[in-house]
Amino acid sequence: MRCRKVRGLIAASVYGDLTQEEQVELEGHLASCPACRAQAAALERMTAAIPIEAPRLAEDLLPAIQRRLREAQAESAARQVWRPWRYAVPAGVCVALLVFISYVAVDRPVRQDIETPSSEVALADELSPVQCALGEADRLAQHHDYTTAYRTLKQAVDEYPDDASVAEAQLRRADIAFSLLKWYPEAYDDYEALADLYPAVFASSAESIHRRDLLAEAREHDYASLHALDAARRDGENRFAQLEGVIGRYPGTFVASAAAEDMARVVAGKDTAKEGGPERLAAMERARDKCTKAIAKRQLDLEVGHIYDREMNDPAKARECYDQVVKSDNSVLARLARQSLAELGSEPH
Amino acid sequence: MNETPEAVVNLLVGESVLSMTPRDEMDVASLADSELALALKAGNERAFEELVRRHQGRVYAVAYRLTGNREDALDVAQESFLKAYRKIHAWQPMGGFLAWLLRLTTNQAIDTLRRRKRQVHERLADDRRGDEDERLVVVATSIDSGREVRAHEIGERVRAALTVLSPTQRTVFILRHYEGFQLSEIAEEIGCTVGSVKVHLFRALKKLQKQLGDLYEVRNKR
Repeated sequence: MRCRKVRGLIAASVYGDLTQEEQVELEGHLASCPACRAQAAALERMTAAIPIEAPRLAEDLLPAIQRRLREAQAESAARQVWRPWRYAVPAGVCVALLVFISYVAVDRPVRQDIETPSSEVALADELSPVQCALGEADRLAQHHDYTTAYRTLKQAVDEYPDDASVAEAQLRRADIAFSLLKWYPEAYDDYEALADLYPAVFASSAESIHRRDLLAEAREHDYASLHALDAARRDGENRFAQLEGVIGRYPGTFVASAAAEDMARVVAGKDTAKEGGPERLAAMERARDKCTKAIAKRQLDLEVGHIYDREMNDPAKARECYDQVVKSDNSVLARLARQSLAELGSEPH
Repeated sequence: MNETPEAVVNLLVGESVLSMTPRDEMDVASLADSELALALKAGNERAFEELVRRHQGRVYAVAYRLTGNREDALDVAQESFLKAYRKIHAWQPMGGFLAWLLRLTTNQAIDTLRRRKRQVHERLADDRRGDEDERLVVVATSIDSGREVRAHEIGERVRAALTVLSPTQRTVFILRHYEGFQLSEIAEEIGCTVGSVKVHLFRALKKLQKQLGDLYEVRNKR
């Protein structure tokens, strides 16, 4: 039996949850596998070291919960009363758009209807709670109050999960957490929730997928790699060298790829990732040639190889780059290059 | 209980909260979690009160294990029940109510920890030295014996390690390790197979091992 197959049995055995048949199966494997035997013993020692005594609750929570519930309901009722005014700005934008469209495309009687002031309030009432929150979050973001914008969207998503705009609000919330607040743990949870609850929206956003992968990887190091990348990006004078340092610390990761992309931007003086193709390739090659650290050079070789392979349709050039990386002292980069060569159907030279 | 969940809902929704007699209350107390959750979904407040009474100790214990102090744990426990009340429409009868409630609790506690961590970082940025002094004073005055210091250290390390787990891994670990659920019960609660629960549990234990390795190996040598 393979080690991979007994992992679940090892976990269950730690808590004595095996059937007799499973016990026999596991013991048979452990007798012939010292690694799994050591693993099982280590997990048993660890679980024994985590205390399980429960802290006791000395009071009844119900009165406080009921009080908070009444307060929240009163607050919510007050918000309902004020909603048309709170969300006047997004409503006004919608009205302006509708008025414009009506002049362009609709008969005059309809236009006259829209022009009456009472219809503005009616439209504000027609906005769903989550649409209102999206408008409010945009307004707050324009004033750089990202924390309140995030909380506004979080509350709307939590309170109105059936609203038609909730997926959009979830996506916006994740984006604010990731790119504006740099709250990476929250951003990870938000993108995960987006993938779980609104898979169609998630799958249609390449940026969300990329960010979720980046966060999932950085999470293993308590997001230290992403914080290091942010710090390097903030360093105006030594940005290139700082980005090289990030690659040195986290070679072969998504963060290292992002750092390489940034180095190409620094060299080109513009966003080459958006340009793609030859311009991106030229910038990445110039950045590679400017590197002072061998490990950074190999990371950029890998990136250049990917561009040749995926954007320039030049497998021969891609292979040359990957062959350079295979020789790297860094085992992670060398392994990635071997994988890329295998995908091209080649062996390392 | 012979009634189907739908019949129970009809029974409970048919009664106004104010007009409930002591016998009705006794009936509510005898209902299973899933029946109470269905009744709450249909708007029955008594069902919610019964769920709070029934599970507040467990919710508080989970909150305390993750936050490490009474004040935060009380706040997290209250907020978790409020969330359960507001989000009950999202609860699915296929999964167990308690696991769902404890998942809300762990998420709420993790939010609290992150907020606390951010506040500490912000304070450190404002006045690094002053805050360090303050922290040392808090530790010095609140822990007065070697054994307590050790217990405090272990508690802090375990709390930090639990935040590294994914939400499902954390739920599975908490239900098995602290709450003593059988694997088959956990599978029912979170709506997956026993085999998947074992895999989640193994991954959770491996991650905890990575985080806590030095702690228990040192402890073991002592």
